[in-house]
Amino acid sequence: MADNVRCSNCGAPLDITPETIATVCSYCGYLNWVRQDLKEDVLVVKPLDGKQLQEKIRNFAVRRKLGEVFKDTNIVELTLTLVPFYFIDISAEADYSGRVLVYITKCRRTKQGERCWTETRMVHVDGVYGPYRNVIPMIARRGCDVFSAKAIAYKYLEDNPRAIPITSAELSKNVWRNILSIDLDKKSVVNIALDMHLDELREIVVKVIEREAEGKVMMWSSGVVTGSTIIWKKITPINIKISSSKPVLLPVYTAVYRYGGGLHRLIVCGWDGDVIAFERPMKTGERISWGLLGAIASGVLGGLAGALYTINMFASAGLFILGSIASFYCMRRALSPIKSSIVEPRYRKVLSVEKISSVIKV
Amino acid sequence: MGTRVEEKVFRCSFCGAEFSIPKTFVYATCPYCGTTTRVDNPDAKVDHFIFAINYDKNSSYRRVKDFALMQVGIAEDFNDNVDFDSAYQYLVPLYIYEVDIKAVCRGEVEKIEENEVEISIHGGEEAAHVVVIALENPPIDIPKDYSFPAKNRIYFKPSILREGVYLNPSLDPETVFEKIKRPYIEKTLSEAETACGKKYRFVDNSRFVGLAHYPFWIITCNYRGRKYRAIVDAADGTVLYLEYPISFKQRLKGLVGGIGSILTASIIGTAISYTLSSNIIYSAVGGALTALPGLAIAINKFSRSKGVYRYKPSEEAVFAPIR
Repeated sequence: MADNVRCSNCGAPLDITPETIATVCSYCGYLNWVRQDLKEDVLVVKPLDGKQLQEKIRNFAVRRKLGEVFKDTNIVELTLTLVPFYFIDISAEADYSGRVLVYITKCRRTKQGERCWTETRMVHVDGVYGPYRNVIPMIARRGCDVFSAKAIAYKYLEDNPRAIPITSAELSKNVWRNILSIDLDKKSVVNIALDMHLDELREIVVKVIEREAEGKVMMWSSGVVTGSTIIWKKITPINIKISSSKPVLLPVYTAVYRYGGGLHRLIVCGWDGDVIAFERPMKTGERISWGLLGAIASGVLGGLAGALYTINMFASAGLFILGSIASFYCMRRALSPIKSSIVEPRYRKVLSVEKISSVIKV
Repeated sequence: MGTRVEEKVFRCSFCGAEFSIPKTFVYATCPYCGTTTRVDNPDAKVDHFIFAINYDKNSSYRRVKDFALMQVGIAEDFNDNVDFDSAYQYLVPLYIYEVDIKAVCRGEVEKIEENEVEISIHGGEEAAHVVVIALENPPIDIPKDYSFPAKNRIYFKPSILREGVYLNPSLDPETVFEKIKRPYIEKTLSEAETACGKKYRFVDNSRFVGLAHYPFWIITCNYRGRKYRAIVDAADGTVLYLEYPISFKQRLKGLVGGIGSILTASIIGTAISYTLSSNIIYSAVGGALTALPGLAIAINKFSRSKGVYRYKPSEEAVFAPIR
């Protein structure tokens, strides 16, 4: 850690790195701005305390019939982390024009049967799309773009819990010691958010150009539009408005429980105790079920494949491949690690997206 | 054995000490005062960092044990019969870059107020933080898509040289930088050309942040006379590689399960052909063959007494820690 940088409130040495912009003193809880030129108010959503959280987990465990796994005596670790976020509100329009080659399939009945062919039409489109607006949560640190951080940001935007200035939050020592420092300045964060937002806007406008061109052709031609290729396009982002929030600290708990010789983790929202994801032991019955399913599926499909072998080789090959895939998949599930990871339904879409802004639409 | 590397004598620009370095080195770190300098330009300023070692060998060993207990088929008495054997710390060099590229359209006007920015017209932009291993052939197996966290980075201290195996960077940072920037530049220029044709101005504010060393532990433990190896990220405790013993009982169960499923599939296949009055042999064989992939998985997992875990970001995605 850098030497000789001390808390301006109590004089204790501060735990900082070359990138630290602001950090909370682990001795007195005072927020120190290492970069005074970037100083501003910081907000925090107050977390539940350890006891309240354990009660929430117990209630969750009872509902899910996992009371034996997630009981208090099994707790190995309970970690609170407060993650700093900026919420960047970006709105942009796109001035677009394009030349699109649209493919139309036409068919005609003849004496010999139906004859089909493909024609093309070159169409010009132009217009202004938008405004396309989004609120993008950006973590004020590098390398933090993980599922739990994305999920907590998503929940904040949906639930809108109360965030208060850190100076009036009266946080306890257990809380301020777990506040991650702000390592990214607002300008860098805005640049990254703008890049993400405009990339999305460009992708949307490309689809708009294609749809518009195909729509025009459908209106004026007979036949069925089967696709299109953009020959030339111009997409210019215009009227971009960006505003950013003050830094907001969002709490998230990670809990680890020991049960049946293994460790089981939970990610829990720090302000209301909502479980975001958890691991539960995989039962022997489940494993046997997957194994049996694999055997039955491959037996049925493989048997049919064999039966059809001399009648239709292509169908037989197809069934054989499907049966092999079923056997492979089911056996992998049967032999997966001793526990299953469950992401609560509300957060599953966060798991599959790279950028949280794709999920949240303003 | 191996070819002898040609060395040369280098003089530290800070303390004046002389020491030998291989001729291929890009940077030289003085073993006496810890100052790092460019070999081809000793007067150039070098920002040299190290990622804070948050897990010592004891806590890393505990991580390995706890992680092994989560693996399917782990020997039942592993926790009771495993012993620590050895731990070596490796300091792997990384190059850190900030990519900040813009292609500004002619006529672009940017109005900046306290918390608001308005841009009239925009070309292209790319912003990214890139971390690259500065070695051609790292001696430890780090996953290709492993993301090195950039927090907890402190200035390099010479005392660290005594604690682990210090690896010197072998790649030229400028060459690596140009290679990294290329796709970002191409994307930025493509966006700008799509936005405003050729009427743009290229602005590259990218920079080489510096050289940073990242700590890893190679932990070896003993279980019933056999050694098992693990690689642990000493900055945040992630287990990248783990060997663990699989119990005989679990192996037997797994193999029996695999063979059982292939027999079941074969019987079902035979039953189907009997119902369809078709060729029994073909159906029985068809059923057995489609069950082979499942059997292969069971054999792969359980034919060896040593299981291997390799870190895959996609599989660890849900519970990856907030760093």
